[in-house]
Amino acid sequence: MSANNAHIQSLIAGAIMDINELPSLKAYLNQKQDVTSADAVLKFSAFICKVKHNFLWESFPLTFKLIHDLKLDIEIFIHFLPDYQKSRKEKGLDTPAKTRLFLDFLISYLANKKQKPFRILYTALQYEMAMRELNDFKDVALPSQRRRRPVSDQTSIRINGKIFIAYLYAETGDIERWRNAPKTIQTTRSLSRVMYWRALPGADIRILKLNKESADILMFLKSGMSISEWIYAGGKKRSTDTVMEMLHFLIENQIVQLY
Amino acid sequence: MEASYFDTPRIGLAFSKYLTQISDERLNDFDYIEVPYEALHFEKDLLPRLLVKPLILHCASLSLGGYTPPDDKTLETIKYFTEATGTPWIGEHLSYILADKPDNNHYEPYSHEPYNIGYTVSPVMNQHSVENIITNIKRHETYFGVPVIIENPPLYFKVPESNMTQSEFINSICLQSRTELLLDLTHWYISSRNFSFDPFEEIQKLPLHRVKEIHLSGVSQSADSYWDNHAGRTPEIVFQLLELVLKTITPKAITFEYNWRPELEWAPLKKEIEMVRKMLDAKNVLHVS
Repeated sequence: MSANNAHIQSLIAGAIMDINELPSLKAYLNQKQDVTSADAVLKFSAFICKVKHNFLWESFPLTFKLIHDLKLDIEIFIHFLPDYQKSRKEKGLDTPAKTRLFLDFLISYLANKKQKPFRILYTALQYEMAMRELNDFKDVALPSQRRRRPVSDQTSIRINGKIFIAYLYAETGDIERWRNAPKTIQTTRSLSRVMYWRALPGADIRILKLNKESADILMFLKSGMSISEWIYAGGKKRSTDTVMEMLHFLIENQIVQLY
Repeated sequence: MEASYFDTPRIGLAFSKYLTQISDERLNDFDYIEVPYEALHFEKDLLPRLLVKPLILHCASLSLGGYTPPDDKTLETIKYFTEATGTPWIGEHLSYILADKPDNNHYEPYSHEPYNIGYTVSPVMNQHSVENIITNIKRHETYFGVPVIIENPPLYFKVPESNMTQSEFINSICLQSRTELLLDLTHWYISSRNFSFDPFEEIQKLPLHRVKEIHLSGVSQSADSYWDNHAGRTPEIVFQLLELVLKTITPKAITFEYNWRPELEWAPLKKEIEMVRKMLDAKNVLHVS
């Protein structure tokens, strides 16, 4: 009996720590005609994974709170288990690396889900990512802008300060209030592109709604690409007039500058 | 710290980061800090910052319900912190955290290393498990020199080969040993929801006279189950369970476990502490300093 207890506990431990081991547990349960639910073990594994991410209360408090309030925690962490368990095998991940791993998963998990709870989460996450990136802005140097500059560009353009282009299903002014009233959250059906912009460290954060083209060009510039590369990437869709119009807007608002 | 400090019931808080930064005024709102050995182990300079209050050592590493013992270094470190904190007892989960890997494991290249789940899991509940747990407790109590009291885990799924309810399981351990209990009322309530039993009726089947400490924390609901939630407040029904238990026994310590978030709203917590003090006061057992 003792050996049997140890074997069962080992099977459960394996299934909790590695979803690839769940079939072994299921096979055992089938063989013994045991009513234990392997799905319940899977949910428990997701719960443990969630608890191991309690550090997100500190860095992404609104997103993590909403994951709870919207009762999506177990579902989301079940889907995160493969990435998480793989990362556990590469020992020594620090908290920032664990945070990045979860955020990369969550953004991609939420991206194509249209139901309201997911739209709320996606928006909260984008908002907090924007705030985090801009609050971390302490250095005026912009390494990504220096990455490479095509020889053909006689004049280069760079972003003034730091920007984050967020894709939101809500009015920007509403999001911060979600913390206190999760049941009254209103969302929009379509995404809006919003730029959170801090021109200098310590300066106020400005918020601007963008059209698709402006958002695209700023994303290109942010990733260190040039205007010509952006035009090239767009094929024949991007006329010189459109480009000039957008550049004029960005320069006039001091979002970018020529140098 | 002398064990006599807990001769009258005390109200404490589970360690969380915010406790290292709170004001002296708030320090007076509660009596002790319950600190996990694991936190002391991983944060080397933590202990001196907590010694402003009496400490109780909590633990999740002994794997009392398991068949794979913790390594000697872990035991030595727990012993060191047992002495350094002056804890009157060690609270440990009636669970396992370590398990040997099966021989037929094809997925892990290092199958000689045991599984370390990193979280406590309820063991098989049968007589063999009872004997194993009693043996483990006795061995640890002899080594550490203080009582090891056991905490009921929340039940999330039926463990195969179990042929006892949790109250039968705990009763069996207490009948066959002198083990005392850390009754987590939130865990109890969660188990009652997940396993459809009446928490008020069933709790009276527990050997309540063995309860030395009580835990209180929040509950969440998700994916058709109830879950432990140290980020939320203790629900009313758990306070009702506390009231019922206090009619029968007087524990030495009641601990609020709000330790999953880096910050805490103090005013609601203070109200909860005052409410529990009133319950104890009604029994006329509260320490007056």
